[in-house]
Amino acid sequence: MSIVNAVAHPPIDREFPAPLRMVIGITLAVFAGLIALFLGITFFRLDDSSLLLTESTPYKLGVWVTEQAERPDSRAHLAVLARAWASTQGQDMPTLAQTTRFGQSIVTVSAMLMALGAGVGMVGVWLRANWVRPLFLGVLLGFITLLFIVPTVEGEMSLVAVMLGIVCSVGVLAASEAGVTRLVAFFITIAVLLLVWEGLKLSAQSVNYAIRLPQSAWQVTAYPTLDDALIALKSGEVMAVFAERNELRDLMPAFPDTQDGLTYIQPTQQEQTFIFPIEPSLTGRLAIALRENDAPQMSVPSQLVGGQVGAVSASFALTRYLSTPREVVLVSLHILNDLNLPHLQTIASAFLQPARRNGEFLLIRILGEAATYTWSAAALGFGFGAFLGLVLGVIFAHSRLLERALLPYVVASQTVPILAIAPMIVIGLGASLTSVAVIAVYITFFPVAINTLRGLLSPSPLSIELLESYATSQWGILWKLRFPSAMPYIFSALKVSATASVVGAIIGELPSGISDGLGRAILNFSSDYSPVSTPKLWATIIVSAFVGVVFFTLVSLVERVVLRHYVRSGERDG
Amino acid sequence: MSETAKSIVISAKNLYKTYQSSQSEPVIALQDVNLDVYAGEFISLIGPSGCGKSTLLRLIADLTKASSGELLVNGKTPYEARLRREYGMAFQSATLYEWRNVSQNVQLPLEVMGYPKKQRIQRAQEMLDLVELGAFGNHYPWQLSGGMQQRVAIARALAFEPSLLLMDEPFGALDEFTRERMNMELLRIWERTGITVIFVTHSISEAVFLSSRVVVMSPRPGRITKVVENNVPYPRVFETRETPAFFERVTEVRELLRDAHEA
Repeated sequence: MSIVNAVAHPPIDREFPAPLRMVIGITLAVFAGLIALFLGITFFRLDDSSLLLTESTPYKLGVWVTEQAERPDSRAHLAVLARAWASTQGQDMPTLAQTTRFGQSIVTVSAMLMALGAGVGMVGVWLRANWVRPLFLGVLLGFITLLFIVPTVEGEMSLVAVMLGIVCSVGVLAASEAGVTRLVAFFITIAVLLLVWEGLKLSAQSVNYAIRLPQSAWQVTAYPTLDDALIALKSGEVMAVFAERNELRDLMPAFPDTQDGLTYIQPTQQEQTFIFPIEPSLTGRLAIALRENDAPQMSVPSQLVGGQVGAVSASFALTRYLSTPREVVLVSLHILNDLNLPHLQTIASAFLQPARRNGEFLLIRILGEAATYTWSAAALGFGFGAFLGLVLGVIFAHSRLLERALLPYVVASQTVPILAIAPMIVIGLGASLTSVAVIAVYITFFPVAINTLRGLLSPSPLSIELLESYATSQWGILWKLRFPSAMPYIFSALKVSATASVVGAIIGELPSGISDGLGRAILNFSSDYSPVSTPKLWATIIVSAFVGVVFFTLVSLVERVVLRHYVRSGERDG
Repeated sequence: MSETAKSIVISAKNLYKTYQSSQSEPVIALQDVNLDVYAGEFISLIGPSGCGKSTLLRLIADLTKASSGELLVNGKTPYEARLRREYGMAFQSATLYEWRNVSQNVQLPLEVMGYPKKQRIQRAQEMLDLVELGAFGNHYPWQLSGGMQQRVAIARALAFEPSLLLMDEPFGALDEFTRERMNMELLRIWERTGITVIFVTHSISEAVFLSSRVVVMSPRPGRITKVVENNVPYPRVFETRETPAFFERVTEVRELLRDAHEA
């Protein structure tokens, strides 16, 4: 018995029978329509103070636009537009109520349109029409957009409704007899990924389970000012004073210099008993002032528990650290939180808010400019790297000696981690676009060189002999045969290099201190680990990935044109 | 056989070719080969695998060097003849370049030789007309059948009007029916151009149908057993294969090959 016979089954018809498909399709279409209707009505009826409105992406954008419009010198495009609109209404500037209403009505109208689309689409499913596909693709895109607009508010069903809407639209598209095109498959994949993301968040919220052991609390005395607290510390009234690091540093020179027998410590390691962490942990923002004699025995906050400690009343140290119950966390299932996995809507609204508080430009514009800068460095490096790779490939293909002598060093150059060599290049060439581009070259040239070499050596002996029979020069063989044969090899290397050059440019920006690129944005948003900056970090990650994808796509398009007559490149069968 | 043209195109005297090998005994590919080819002849080299027929062709084409003996092509060494582009070559596979269309493939040798573009295009069209593929200039190789690809390869070999055409089992990969049609085609081209052809094959009927003389070779070591004069009259047509004269020559070549194998 051969394996082929063992594997061959009679074909199984996996398709749904048509009536069942139709019933499923129509049911899901009805649900999608109802959900869109529900969302539209909800948004229409929101009053100005409801959290669902004030936390939503358009509202946050509206606040910024109104603020910017009030500044006559603001250069933000949206602010200029909003002012222009206000002047047509006979006002100097738009009011927050107007911008809010604008955003609210856009959401309402599009939700209503989606409901209408789903209703018409239902008829289309009944008629088995082909236009069901574009129609429901539109409805799906609408729901996906709402996922980025509707905030998560406790007690509100809106986000769950949006997710159900996505499920229904995907279901209609999958069950539709019009079939699935590449575009539809792409958006279904996107929709599923987004659903997984929000699904993880939902499950993370429901599995908020932890075993904690309470610890003895602080005995705190509050003082009106830091000076008062330090005087109390000096007099022995308290053992230690918890305060902002910066404020302590201003009042006292840094350890080991002391003033009036006082010193301050700043515990850096995370406090833990055995292996279990103690919460809340002392953040880097806080420091502890001590009497100098006590300092050697007091290196972690726990050693102060039991004694009397002081803090400034209503300070961060008092409200966020000392008044929070101390606990040892034995088990925590709360792994996914708003810090490492923000809501999609939080990330989307981060794009549409200023990068810094009261900033003139939105994060999306700042990231766009950073991406342009990084991409230009990457493209510069890619260009030179590809050229260098081509030249090396040609040299190695024609000189056995040089190949044997130099190729090992070319390979060895890639074993040096780029992160290690990047600072050296920056030291050598200065913190400029040039050094970033050089780092991109370093990461780009290798795949091109190796694949060019492979490609140039790929022609069959017979096709080389053909040219030799016409007494063609080595140069002629290179141009007429070796280069054209190497093209598919070169392009597969260029596609790898295109994405790698973006990675190289970002890594190159990290040590160079260049503030214009994505590298600095990543550093900025990862430096303080707070719920405010992590959505911005996610936004930067998305933009970085986007730059790579766009570059890859550009190279692929060029490849398509150049290799259009090559048998392997197309989908044809020779 | 041509009676008028008697100038010698290829002359081989005591030709030896030995392949050196570090591990085993040296392999004698050709031993004491003597052969004169006259202008306008159609010569077939036939024999079993390993008889050196392809080696002899590659020596003439200067794709490999003889170990000893004398070989002249148009009175020059093969190296000089290759530099002067005096022969065209067709291999077992068509070796068309996939990124060039049919016309550009035929133009390849002309490009290498620096012909002006206008003349290249015109010549390529003439050659494609000659092999009856005039309408396929803009097609790409993958769009053609195996037989059509070989015809393009022949057009390419003839494009620069060489006086000698070297063919290394060009129709070996084709089916019997296509091969017979290609044979007729080749004879027609040969008669129209008056070119000298050296044709390597291991099909007896193909060799007899095409050639004015059949060179029968035997292996280990590769040598010429006999040169058979083929008096089957030209022009040869489809029915030629059914004449007694054709059968006689086929039988003679077959027996020579069998004897050589048993010897």
